[in-house]
Amino acid sequence: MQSLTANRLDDGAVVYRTKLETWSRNVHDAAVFENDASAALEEAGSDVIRALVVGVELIDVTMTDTGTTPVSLREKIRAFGPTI
Amino acid sequence: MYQYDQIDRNFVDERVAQFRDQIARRLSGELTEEEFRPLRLTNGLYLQLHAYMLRIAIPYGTLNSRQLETLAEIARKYDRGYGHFTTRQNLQLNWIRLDQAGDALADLADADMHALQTSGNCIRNVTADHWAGVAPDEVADPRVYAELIRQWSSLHPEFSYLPRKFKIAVTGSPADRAATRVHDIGLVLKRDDAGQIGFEVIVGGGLGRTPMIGKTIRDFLPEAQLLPYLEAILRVYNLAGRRDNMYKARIKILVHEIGTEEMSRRVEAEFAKNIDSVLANVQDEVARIASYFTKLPYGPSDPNPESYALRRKSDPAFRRWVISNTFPHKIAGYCIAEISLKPTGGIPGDATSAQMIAVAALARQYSHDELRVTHTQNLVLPHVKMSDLPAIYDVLAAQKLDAPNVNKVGDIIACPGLDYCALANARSIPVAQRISERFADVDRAHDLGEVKIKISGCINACGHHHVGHIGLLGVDKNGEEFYQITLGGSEAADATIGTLLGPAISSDQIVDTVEKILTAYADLRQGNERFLDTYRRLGAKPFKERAYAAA
Repeated sequence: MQSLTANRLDDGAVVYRTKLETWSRNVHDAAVFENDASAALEEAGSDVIRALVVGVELIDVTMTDTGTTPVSLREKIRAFGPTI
Repeated sequence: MYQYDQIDRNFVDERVAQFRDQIARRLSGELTEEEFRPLRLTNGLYLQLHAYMLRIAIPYGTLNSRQLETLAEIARKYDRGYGHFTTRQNLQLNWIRLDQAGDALADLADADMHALQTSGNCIRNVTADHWAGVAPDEVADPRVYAELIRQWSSLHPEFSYLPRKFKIAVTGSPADRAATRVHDIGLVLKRDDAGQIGFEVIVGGGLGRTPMIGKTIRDFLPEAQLLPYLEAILRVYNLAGRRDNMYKARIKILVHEIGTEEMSRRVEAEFAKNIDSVLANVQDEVARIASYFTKLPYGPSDPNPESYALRRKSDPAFRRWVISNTFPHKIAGYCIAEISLKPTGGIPGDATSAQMIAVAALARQYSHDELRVTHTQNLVLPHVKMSDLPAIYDVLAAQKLDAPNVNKVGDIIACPGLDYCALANARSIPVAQRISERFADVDRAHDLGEVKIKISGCINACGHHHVGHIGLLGVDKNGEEFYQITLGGSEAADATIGTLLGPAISSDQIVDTVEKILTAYADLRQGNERFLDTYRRLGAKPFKERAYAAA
């Protein structure tokens, strides 16, 4: 399972692509792609051209009780902030 | 200290105006990220894990009170009220907005500062001995030459697209407090037999994935020839440095591949061509810069005033702080006071805006309006009267800046690691916090004496782990954080790359393992041996046995 993440251009904040094709600060709102996410990736690219976000990429996620959750430590830290 | 003239001021103001325009064009979509990225990096603005990060240059680690207050205000106004002092004597702000970065840089320029030369394949912000101008063992003040290099190298058109980044460090003393032997160029001030000032020139040192100790290519370079000689080194590197492979592009690889002798030959041949260049005629500029660093009006000061002696006798905490955090000054009755940014359980190098403002006030009142940033991520009040130490200590204690641990086990260097950095593989800061908590007992830490622990979250080695007495390198093993241990490194005049001890240790076990290594040292040391001395006498074997012994 994968989701799309990026950084918002104006403040650099970490954001996630939602089902409504908007960007949310909350990882739990992230839309999940079970199979091929390349179409979604390309579609999200239009927001790069519109200068809304930068660095769109796919990340591995799992579904938990609270919603979409990243798998890797790096993406957990991006989603939930520094651990310190 | 150095003050901007109109040329400096116009230069940074123009840059701020340019960058504001570039930001506006990026936000409107006129510039793409590919076009904008090199422009923002030239101005010190990175995009990290959580936000933009602004890396502010603190040339040769010297600041006045107003500048530190400006940094504090910028951190408060545009960030989250704290900053992180780095091993490059810079300050990093972790939560900057792109649409406010121009305002932050304008505020910075108002205090004679900038964020240039903190990124890109150019000559980076020059670093220097943090005891410059005050150390008893100093030959000459390295900041005069560091400032000369700053002016020469800032946006130097010929050296703006080098094969890779280029770092120069200058120390004024044979003790080498600027880690010159692990820089692209290290300069050690010295005098020849006739008493003339010059430099030992060291090239090709560096850390990162291929750590190297620099090689001396000139035992004595007369002062006046500094810039033509640096230009010759940069020209040789610019032409012959490898551009085909980013990992082999630093000058250390060139020096390693062609050898020290050939490097020296090429540099001398290039130097011979420009020995009469305009750069060899900068005595007036050196004198102008030096005039900013002239003798301060030190008044008479009692080396052992009653107020200080009484407090030292009656207050063990004060006594311990004086023993570990103050150092001899070249003028009797004065000392150098180092402010540790490593409280137990704290984040190495972090200071809040309130702490910065308090320290700036201390510098204004007690240290001739001057401060230093060390490459070990601490601050220094360089000109302190012994009689003022009790008052200074009380302010530091109120600000939780009184950790009595300079060069002790708790004085850990740590890069931002995976908590902030887009390049990191593992976290550094939490490991530093846990180690400092484990060794929180001040008596025990002082008993262990000088121990330099340095932690990097990736092979780029911003935490200088290769030259730590104990170096920790975070690695990712199938999604788990592990730490490789190197022992026996040093960044001082006896510069040494540490040796890998054995297999990487899990995050859960790493603090226990560091403790086992230091307990082994405590058991095995002879006389006044430091950890590093014991390691050098005995080698890795006893430490390895203890580190990897089953619990």
